[in-house]
Amino acid sequence: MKTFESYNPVAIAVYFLSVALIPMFFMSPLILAPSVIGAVTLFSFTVKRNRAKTHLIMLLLLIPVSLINPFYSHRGETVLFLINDTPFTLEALIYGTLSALTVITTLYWFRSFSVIMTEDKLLYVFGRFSPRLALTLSMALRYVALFTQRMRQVEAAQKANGNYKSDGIIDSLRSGARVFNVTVTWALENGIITAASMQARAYGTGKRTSFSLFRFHTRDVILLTSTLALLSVTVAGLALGGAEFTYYPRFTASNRLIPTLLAVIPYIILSLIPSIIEIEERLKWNYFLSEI
Amino acid sequence: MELLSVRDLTFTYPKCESPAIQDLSFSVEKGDLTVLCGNTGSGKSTLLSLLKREIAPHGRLQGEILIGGKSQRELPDKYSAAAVGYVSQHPEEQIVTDKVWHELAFGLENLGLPDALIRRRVAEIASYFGIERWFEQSTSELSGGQKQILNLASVMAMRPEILLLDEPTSQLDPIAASDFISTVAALNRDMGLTVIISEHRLEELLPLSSKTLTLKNGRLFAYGSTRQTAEILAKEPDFRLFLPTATGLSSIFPDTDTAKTPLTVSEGRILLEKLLSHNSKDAANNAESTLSTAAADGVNTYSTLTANSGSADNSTADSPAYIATVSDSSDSDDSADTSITADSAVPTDSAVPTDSAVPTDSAVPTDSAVPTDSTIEEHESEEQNALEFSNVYFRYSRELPDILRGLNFKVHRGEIFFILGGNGAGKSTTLANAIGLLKPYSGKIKMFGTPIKRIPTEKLYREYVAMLPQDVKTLFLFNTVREELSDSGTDGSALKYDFTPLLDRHPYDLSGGQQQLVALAKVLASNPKILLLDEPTKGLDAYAKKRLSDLLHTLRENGMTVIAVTHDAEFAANTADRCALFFRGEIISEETTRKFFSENTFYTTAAARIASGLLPNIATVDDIAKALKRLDSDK
Repeated sequence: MKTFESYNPVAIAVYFLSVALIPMFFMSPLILAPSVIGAVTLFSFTVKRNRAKTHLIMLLLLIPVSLINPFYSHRGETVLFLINDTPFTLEALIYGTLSALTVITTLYWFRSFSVIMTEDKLLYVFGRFSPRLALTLSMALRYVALFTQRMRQVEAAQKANGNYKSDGIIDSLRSGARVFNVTVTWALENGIITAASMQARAYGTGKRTSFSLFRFHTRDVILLTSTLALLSVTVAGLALGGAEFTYYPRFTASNRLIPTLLAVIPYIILSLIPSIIEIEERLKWNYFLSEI
Repeated sequence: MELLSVRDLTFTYPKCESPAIQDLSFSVEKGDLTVLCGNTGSGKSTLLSLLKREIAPHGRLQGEILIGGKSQRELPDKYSAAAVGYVSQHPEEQIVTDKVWHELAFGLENLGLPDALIRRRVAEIASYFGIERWFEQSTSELSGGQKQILNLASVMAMRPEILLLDEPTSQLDPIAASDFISTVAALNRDMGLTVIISEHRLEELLPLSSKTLTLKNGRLFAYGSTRQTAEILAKEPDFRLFLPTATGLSSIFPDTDTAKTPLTVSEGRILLEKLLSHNSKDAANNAESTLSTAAADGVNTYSTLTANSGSADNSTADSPAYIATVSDSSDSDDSADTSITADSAVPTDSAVPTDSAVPTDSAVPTDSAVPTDSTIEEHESEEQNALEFSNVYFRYSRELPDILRGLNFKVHRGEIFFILGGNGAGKSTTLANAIGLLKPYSGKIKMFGTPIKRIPTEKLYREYVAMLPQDVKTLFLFNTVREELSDSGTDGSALKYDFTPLLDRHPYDLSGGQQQLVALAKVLASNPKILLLDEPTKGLDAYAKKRLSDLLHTLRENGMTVIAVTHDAEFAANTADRCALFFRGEIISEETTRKFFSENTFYTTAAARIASGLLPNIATVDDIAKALKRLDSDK
């Protein structure tokens, strides 16, 4: 029962980009509010451990970042109080808080993103753009793992035969270089065998295809198209001046109702999609369980 | 139908004068499982790689290789790559990608197959080979056996018509090796896959194969049905060691009228029963009764004869004087005591105490080459123990379970001690603890009575102990053997091996056995008192094993204590003085070699299985041979 993350990585990547980029480029409380709610809900669905700690860190981050702006910017009509004869204004505080919320909502989105988009999913997304890059990355990842394992083996072997000293800096540098040297020689040798193994399996006989475990099911297509559709409507609404706010000298909302609705309603839906999927799945499970 | 045929093949490597393969002609039928056998350097690997066009070495090639009736050179690229599958002896290095599923798909991607087809083939192959459980894992997390199965599976995904395997199990432990071989045999049996496999370990493989092809110095030596070839090979000293134990046994008694050359343990048992009944006829049905008394009684003919043969096995040459001492084993108790006190530092072969102090299992005489536990106990002082573990507990980190759980054992000065056990039981961890690479969180490790914690690191590695790692390549630092040896300050003379022809070669270009010798020379340069070996027989052929075994005996005679961990029961039976079974972080049983193997039923040698219930106290073929000879002369 981990539905959202089981969607096709391309659909997921597009979703995250859409949902997180809008508040980064367009600061508005009407966009931020659903974004924060959506991001935090998804976060609590995907991240299993140390959630409270993350929330605490985010809160601790929110306060100072919100306060930076009013301390430096003194624009705005509503003076709350004076510090050393400089005004601390409500408008600057609102602006600062909204900026801080932008940062935090982005952090929340990316926390979930990093949990959901594992290494191989990222590789797959890159591979869609360039199959060659995908293979290169895959081989590189394998080599890094192999190389570190081998370094450890060589170090142990050299130590056990009195060739590895870590008494002083020079000694340990020399010993380290020795280990590195052995490992590189081995890696080059290893490369020859790997190359043979690639050739033996028809590498270089023609155009390759790029296989991946992930498939595009109907639900992935639905997620992708609805993400893109909601994104375009939101962007159009924003472009028409929807959800616009002026902060200085006085905090005021734009009065263009239709563009605002055009921008905000699709974005609310967009930011809640993963949470809706998760909740729906949970309800279904509960239902099935009670049936059983 | 003829699937592969080789005609007058001669191949010479560049800059070499003599050809690696010479005038080789043979053909392989569809559905054959052909074993390719021969010494290191006989051209097995060269032949296999020549059969696979994509990886054929550079050099001068004469003659023809036909696949499905067509010349290898005329086959289309993709067909040729897919139709001939090849798995090499390097499980690790053959893997190209980072995920198991990706590795399975790699060849299919190269063939340019569409996504849906690859998905289907990968799914099919993963289910057949039982890879589903680790399908999404990283390839670097797999065990050696899993890696090799993965290599086989990813080749099989391309649906080859012929499968070439170049010593595929040489880097695997015996259990993983059996798994691999039975998988190959199943492919051959269930799908009619044509297989050519070169192997060192023929004990299991040979009975499963239909044909055997042997090479000697690049030439065809024998080729035919496995049973016929085995019969020929059994007479050849160059090949005898490769053959299964049962076949080896029959070659010692060539005049026994067996209908067919035995290949398996059960056939070996039939042979042995026959040999024993021969004896009983000769000796006026004496054998049967002797056998039963052997089981019931204390000192008798059988124990005498095995005590004798046992020690003879351990000495490299049977000296007549020594035999005289032993055959008089009825009053060997005093001789045992005296020899122990006289020669306490290095128990030589002349020290032959039978375990007379303990009357219980007297029907099974203990290995006479080494003082038994009880005798040692009396004369023991702390310095007598080269290595002592008492109640050692170890784990890699706090969250992980214990790897060593109250490990206790003692290794006496000047003995060869083998620790056997399965994968992941903690054998290698034990060695790493013994040498101070890892530190236990509880318990004591002592060398010659001194806790290793109190021996300065420098001194520990220079004077006390040295270790031959599992992969000896981790020791090589230079481009030539000459530099390797001089860096360690040795000429390798301690090994009694002529390194001269190897001196200017790159260590990586040597055979597994040669690499190990160079590594041993380096390790022994500091003249340690204790030598530790981690899986020393990995990748060695039967002859290299024999040489290593002899070498370890020489080292012991020079006073060195040798401790090895291994999976290789046959090697342990031929080499060790005492063996211990390691299981879940503890030593479960610790006995003299012969007793160890004759009392185990599953974890034991083929010879012990053949002799089980027929002859007591058997670990090797030599033991059987000597027991029978002794029996003969007694009558």
